[in-house]
Amino acid sequence: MIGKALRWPAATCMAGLLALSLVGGCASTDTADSGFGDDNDPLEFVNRFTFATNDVLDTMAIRPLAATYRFLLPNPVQNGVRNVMRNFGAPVVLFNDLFQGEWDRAETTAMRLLINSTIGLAGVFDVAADWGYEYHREDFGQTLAVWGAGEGFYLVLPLLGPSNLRDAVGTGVDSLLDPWPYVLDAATDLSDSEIAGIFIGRRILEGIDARARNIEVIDTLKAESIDYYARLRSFYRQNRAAAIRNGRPVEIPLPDLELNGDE
Amino acid sequence: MLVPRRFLLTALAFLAGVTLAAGPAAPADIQQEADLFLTQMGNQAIGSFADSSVPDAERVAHFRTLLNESFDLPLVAQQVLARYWRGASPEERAAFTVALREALIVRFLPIFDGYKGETFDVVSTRTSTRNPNVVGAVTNVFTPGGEVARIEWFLRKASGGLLIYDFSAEGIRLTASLQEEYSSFLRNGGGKVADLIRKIEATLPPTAVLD
Repeated sequence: MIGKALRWPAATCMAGLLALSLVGGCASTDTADSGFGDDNDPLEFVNRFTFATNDVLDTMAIRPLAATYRFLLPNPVQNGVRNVMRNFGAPVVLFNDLFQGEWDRAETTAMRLLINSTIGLAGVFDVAADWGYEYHREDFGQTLAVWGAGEGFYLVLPLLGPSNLRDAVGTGVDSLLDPWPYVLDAATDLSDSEIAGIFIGRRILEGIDARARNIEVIDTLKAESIDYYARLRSFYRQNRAAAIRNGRPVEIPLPDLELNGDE
Repeated sequence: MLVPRRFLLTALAFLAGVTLAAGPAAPADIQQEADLFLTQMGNQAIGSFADSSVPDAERVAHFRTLLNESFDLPLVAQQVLARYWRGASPEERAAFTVALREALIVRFLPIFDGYKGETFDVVSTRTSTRNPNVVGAVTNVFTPGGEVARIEWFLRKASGGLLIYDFSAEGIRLTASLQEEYSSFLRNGGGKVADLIRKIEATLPPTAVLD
């Protein structure tokens, strides 16, 4: 979380980027919906450099950490960690459900927060899912898209990985929407730097847990990709487009029948 | 983290995204036909490939046969190469199609090791509003982690019956992903399809069949 002294400058900066994203979005086309077309990557050279740096860091530190985490912690404990992290993130999901006018999903998130924070013992157990309130994720990048912002150009962020202008703005806004640092600030004597440390630690734990669940998948993707960077870029853009649609189907893509010529 | 978790889950789902389908179907309605096509052969695939006691060479050969029979591989290859298809020679097109098939085998066959699902059910179908001979069929497939991935298959009615020409796992399409990746390689490497074919072949095991 951004420290108290930095919140307003950060918010101002986010507002500027938000405006840029919205303006940029008016002129951009969501090529991920069609699947083909421009790769939307004018900063490819810089992005590839960041991507390579991230990959080295992953190979040298994050993957070994994730493997150790998975080796040391039994599955139920790992699931408990994930559940707690999701529960901490529920208020941000709820805000974004509401911003998007997704009332049913907002109700689901609110019920999850209520049930898991109490009966689920501070989120350790996902009791709400067993009662029909399944987890979903929303973030401010998706909210911006629902409000009409285009994706902006593709970005690879240091440590955070694939993103775009809109989602990078969304990540920043989500950190401002997160209520827990404000709660800690009001309820404890912790300093800004200590609160920021807790926030960063939470993000690192989320990252390690996610990485631990996908060690083999990423190994396979790397091994059999011709261009790993381009493949992840495509995955990211298509996945975000699908997340913004909340699973609503798009028109069936028609093949170009030039080759077969039997229709 | 280096890669967002949601994104990784989708990558996992994408890797889980192939099952097999083949064989003619009798119903006149294309949606029923697609349902039968996918259900029958998907369940057959689970029966054939989830059994890890079957020798690898036999499983690979069986998988290759089903890909040849169930997928419109030349059309998949054409979509993946996109504009580079037009500049490729007939020999390059054929070689690329075969290399792509072998790459798909390497990618997807391991998914069936210890497959968690017991059945392969089509949960919904829809016909294209733009082409009555094109249908989408949604199935739920269990990922290696035990989670359920939503896969939509896209089939078209060709002269010999239904064939799969693409599929989408949690919103990520096979041909779109490969097209972007291969186009990037070609764009940055001089645009020679022969180079791409060599690059793909270099990732394949020695047992790959390239003729």
